[in-house]
Amino acid sequence: MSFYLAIIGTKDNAVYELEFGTYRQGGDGKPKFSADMKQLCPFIVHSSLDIVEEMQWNTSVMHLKVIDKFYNYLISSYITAGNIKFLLLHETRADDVIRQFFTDLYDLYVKTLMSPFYSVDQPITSAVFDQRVRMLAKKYL
Amino acid sequence: MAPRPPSAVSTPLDTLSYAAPSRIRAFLCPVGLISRPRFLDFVSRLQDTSIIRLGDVTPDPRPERVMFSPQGLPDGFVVYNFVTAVDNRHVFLEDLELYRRTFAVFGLADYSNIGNLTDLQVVIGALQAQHPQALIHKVILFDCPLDQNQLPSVDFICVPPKRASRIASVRTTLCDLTSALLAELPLLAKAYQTTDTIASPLARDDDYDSITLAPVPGVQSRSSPSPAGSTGSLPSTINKDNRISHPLSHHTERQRMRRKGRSMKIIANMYLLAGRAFDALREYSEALNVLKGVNDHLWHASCLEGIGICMVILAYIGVPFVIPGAVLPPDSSSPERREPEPPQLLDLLPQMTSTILSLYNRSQNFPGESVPQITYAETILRMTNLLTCTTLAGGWTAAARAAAVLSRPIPETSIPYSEFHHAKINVMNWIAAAQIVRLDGVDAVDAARILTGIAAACGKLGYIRKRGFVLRQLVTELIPRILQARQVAQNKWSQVPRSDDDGYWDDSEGASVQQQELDSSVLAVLSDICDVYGIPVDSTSEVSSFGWQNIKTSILKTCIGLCQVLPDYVGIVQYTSMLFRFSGGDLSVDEQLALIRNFRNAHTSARSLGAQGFEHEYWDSYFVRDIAVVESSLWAMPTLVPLETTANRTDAGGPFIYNPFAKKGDEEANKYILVLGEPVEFKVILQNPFAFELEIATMSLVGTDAAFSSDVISLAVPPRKLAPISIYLTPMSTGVLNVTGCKFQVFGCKETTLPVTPTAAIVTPPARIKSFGLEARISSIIKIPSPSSVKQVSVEVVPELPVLRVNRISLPQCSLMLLEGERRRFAITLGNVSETVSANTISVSFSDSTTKSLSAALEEQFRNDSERYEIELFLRKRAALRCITDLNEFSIPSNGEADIEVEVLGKRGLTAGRIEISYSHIIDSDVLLEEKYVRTLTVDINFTVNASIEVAGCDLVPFSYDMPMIHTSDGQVTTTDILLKFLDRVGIPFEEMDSYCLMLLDLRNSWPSQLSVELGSRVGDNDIHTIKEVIQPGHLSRLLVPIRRISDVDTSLPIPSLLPPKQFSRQSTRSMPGNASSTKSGVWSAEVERKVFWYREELLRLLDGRWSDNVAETDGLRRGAVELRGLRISPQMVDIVRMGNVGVDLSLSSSEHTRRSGKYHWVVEADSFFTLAASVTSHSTAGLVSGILRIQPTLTNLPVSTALDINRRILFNGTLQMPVVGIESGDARRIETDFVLLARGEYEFVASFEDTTTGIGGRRYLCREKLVITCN
Repeated sequence: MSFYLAIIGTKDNAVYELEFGTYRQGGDGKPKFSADMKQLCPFIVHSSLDIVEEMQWNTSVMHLKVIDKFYNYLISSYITAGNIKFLLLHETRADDVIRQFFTDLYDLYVKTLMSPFYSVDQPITSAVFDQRVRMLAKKYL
Repeated sequence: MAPRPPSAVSTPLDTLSYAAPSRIRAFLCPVGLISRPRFLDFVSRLQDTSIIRLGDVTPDPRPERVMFSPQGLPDGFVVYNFVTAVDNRHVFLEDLELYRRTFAVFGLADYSNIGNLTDLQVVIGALQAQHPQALIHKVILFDCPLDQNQLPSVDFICVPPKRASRIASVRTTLCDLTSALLAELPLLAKAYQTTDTIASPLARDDDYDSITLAPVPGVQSRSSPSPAGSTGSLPSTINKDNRISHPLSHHTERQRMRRKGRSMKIIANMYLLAGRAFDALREYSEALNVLKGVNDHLWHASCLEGIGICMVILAYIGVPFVIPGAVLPPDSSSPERREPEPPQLLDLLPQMTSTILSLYNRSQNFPGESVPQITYAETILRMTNLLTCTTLAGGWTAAARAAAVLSRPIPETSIPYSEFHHAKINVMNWIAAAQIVRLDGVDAVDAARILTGIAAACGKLGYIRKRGFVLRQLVTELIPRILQARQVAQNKWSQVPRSDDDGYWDDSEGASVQQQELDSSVLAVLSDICDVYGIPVDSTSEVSSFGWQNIKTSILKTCIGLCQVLPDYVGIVQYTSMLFRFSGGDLSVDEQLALIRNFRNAHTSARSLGAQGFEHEYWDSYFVRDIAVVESSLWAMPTLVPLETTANRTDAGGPFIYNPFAKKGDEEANKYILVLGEPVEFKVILQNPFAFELEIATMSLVGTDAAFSSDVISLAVPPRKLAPISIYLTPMSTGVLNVTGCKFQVFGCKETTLPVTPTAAIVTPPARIKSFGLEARISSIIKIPSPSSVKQVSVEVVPELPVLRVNRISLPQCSLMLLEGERRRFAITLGNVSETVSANTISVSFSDSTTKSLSAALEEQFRNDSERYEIELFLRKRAALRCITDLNEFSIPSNGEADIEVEVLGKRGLTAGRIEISYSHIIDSDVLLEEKYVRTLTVDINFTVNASIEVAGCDLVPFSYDMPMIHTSDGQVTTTDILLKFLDRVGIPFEEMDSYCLMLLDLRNSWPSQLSVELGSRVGDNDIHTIKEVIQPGHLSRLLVPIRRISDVDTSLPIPSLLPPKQFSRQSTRSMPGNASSTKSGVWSAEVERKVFWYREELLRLLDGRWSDNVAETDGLRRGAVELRGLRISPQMVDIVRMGNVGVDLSLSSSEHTRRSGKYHWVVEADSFFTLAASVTSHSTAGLVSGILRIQPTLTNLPVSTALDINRRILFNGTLQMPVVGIESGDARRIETDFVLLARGEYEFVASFEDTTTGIGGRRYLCREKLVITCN
């Protein structure tokens, strides 16, 4: 199973992107997207932003669960207090795990945001952040 | 072909609206001579009246034609779907979906352009031949003033001119036509009823290739998430080979029923088209029952769809109807006549559609009976459309129904948010279902229809990004199809296969012109997509921080791809420009090279097609990195100097000499002054971050304020380089000139003006996020280059100034050899190059190599004042270079020449000199100005200074009367004789010998040839004693120089400074008491230092030395001054040379008992009376001198204790101390004392005078020579 994670800033800009695969069921953590799909992932995630923006006013929770689908891909979303969107493209429904994943990711994101050298909407280039997100992905997904 | 005015066509009805299958397709074609705008005008007039109420239609009186009589449902209506293009691709679908058939063909003619109506008769025949499937073929004559009866045939219909008739007349015409059409329908119905077999679409079509509804295999692996929970099995693929046609000849009961059901369904379809929805519903219900029985899934589903449409139309008209039991859910299957409650119908319709879709899916299992993809997709889209209408209208309202049936716009309504949201999510499910439909079996037009349908639905719901995504999908779908289609067309056209690239650019002419009108709408779609993804399409000087960079790049590449296959050269140019602008840095080298090649080809092609003004501005806003004035050696930059040299400096700076808040030095340094009419070189640094060479056709400087003309150059900037180039600029008016940037034209771009941006704009993140999502699009637009990072080069343009050149210098190779102290002159010939102005104000300043070392020496802190003065003197007074020519009246006319004479002094350490000639042109009216602009010309000259005569040492010796004997060769000669000879030679009387002293001056000749030295010493007021001597090379010679002793030097004055005073001057710190380090500098106390200093100065004033070189005739006579400042004077020497203010002298009055053996040596007898005369002489200029004279006799050659014991040896008449009062200047007072020597021996008398003019403790003066008396 492959995943595509994108953190989207307030201006539809990608703050962070990551493709990864599962470690469960003998997976090796590598994404298995086809070439077409690899190219399409950002577009799919981007097209779901409409729904995220609509849903955020309809609920008080941050985890919006599965909000959109494209063929048999599902898009889960999490919206932070600062209107930063976490979007995860995945293949099977696993709301609880994804919620945990998102919560921990939010934790990481907030820590990044507290850095005096980082401001909102900047791309996150920290290698440590990347490594920790991968660890989270390995832990939960 | 003229571009189509966009307003000429009113929006046609939405072809994907829910009730679209109830519309009659009518083909409109131009007939006769008719201009395109006219035709489109007629089309739009017809489209405005495309809805015809059945109540307005006259029924056909013929009894066999009453089947579809409009009287059946007067409230019903016929809706025309006017098309202007024949679409034969869906002929195979016409039985299943009758609305795809073209029922009517209308030729539109412009009456004003038609000469003979009878000619048009042929047209009718042609139309009938071309469109045999149509039921009626008519020619509509627009703007025809004739009456219907005057027309030659019933096939001609007249529409009066617009001003005479309004819409009503067109409507009347259409009603008549509808009547005729409805009268023809029964014939068609009969034909269907009697036909043997009615085949499914895919059963007889040979061109329709394998179809599949399956989603992309890689994407969809398991069950397809069908909407509304229907879980149909995977639609299968049917190959051409596997197609099984039904054995038509074998009429089983099942086949018969199927044929019957299908014909009933077609009749129902006709009812629906004819506007008789009620009858259609009834017919559909019956057909449904039949078809359900025989498991004809495809037709069954189509039937269900018809029922849905009928119900919606009836609901719109407001006719009560019964929902057929077959379509109701199983649990509420009791049919009853009732007004359908809106929610029920709204719930029912999606359920029905789900059923339809599952039936369609099931039909896939029957080869030849399977559903065409386009039907499947359009069913979903129609449902989506209906739900969108109800969502936007807030439920099953009248507005929603009108929108669903007649595509009426929905007025804005306020809907509770959550309800609206849920409805939208519901629609999104249907949209997702539509998206899954695979499009690779569908042709380009259908694919475009499906995708635009999805996009439209997304757009209506406000899902702009989703719409953008779908549109992008559309574009990516279209690219390969168009390319394929073009290749097919091309292969047909020329059988010779060509490579893609060549053909691509070769056959562009015809294709592109045809596409021209398409472009505007295609480009609109592309710009719409770009807008969604945060690419500002129109603006060229802005970037948006909005959006996802990778997506932007990808989108722009897709846009370029589409434009290439169309091919739309303008689009290629536009989008390539944008791609370079927005993501130039993300592209690889190969991509960039490919893009720029395409770009250039496209630009050339577009130009050759006559396109104008399509170019964008150049994409890199940071193209001009820097502009700077190049200081040229040819055209010296003028500088501003105050005209009055004595201008008050403190005025400008306020009370502070140093103000840290004043302007920084850099700014001052960067100020350039240009001269009117003189070209100046500017260096411009251009950047090219791209991998290709930039060809710049024209480039010039732009600026504001003062006028100027800039050279226009063309150049190429190499790839990945910061390239410095130079451009000349000629100021045309005076004042401040701001060079703001460059105007240039890169190949393929329009002329662009860019400011100078040394650094990229720093985007400061906003403190607070005010907007997000798509709303942030506007706020995140950044103007580049941001005004804060823009640089300007400000220069001042001044009136014309002359330009001087050094034409000649009267020195070989600008170099000169000198001996130390020598003075030489040379001339510099200046030429004025300027054609117009003369150089009438010239000033010359000099600097030389000694200046620097002397200045550095001055900075050192340990120097004491006299040394400092020495350095200052060499720096300021002993200038190495001096201008001889009087520059006040000096002027060089335009194109003229003049000489300036310069004198150089051989000074130790002089190796190079620089002559700065500042010149200007001042006209009389400028006199009031306080400042002037000058240009400076610099002449460098090398010097070699060799040592000549040096002072090796010096000593001062007083003339003493008490001199030892010197034995000469010829016997005894007293020193006095030698002295007398010497004194005689130098002209000093022996008696006045006291007033002189002797200087022993050692001079060395360091020059390798002999030099004669002439040393003058001022011994009297007008008397100069001169000593001449020839010194051999390398030899040291001692000169005896009589010096007149110096009196009356005020040593209390401080040592002066030649430099302009500073705020904290050296003197004030020196005189500060208690500062040990400053009061005691060096070896001597400050007082001694001052004394030495002033006496040395005085001494140097008396002396004057010159040397000359008589020998070297070839080199001319060298002559120069001996540098006497090398003299070192000690305080002891000062005492020798100084003549005290008061002179004390002792002498003995001569008598018979005395014998004088020297001037101060007497031999006397004991016990005799003598008179000791002490004379006190005042040399002081200050006034009267008073004091105490003391006489001290001692015994010679005895220890002090006994030497002073004279009480028993000498008897004095009077005291040895006596006051002397009021000696006038120059006067001598004689005081006599009598004494008697009682004992033999040798006595010494010393007199001293204590000056008490200003009180006790004044200065003491001793007599110079002691008086020695030997008593026998």
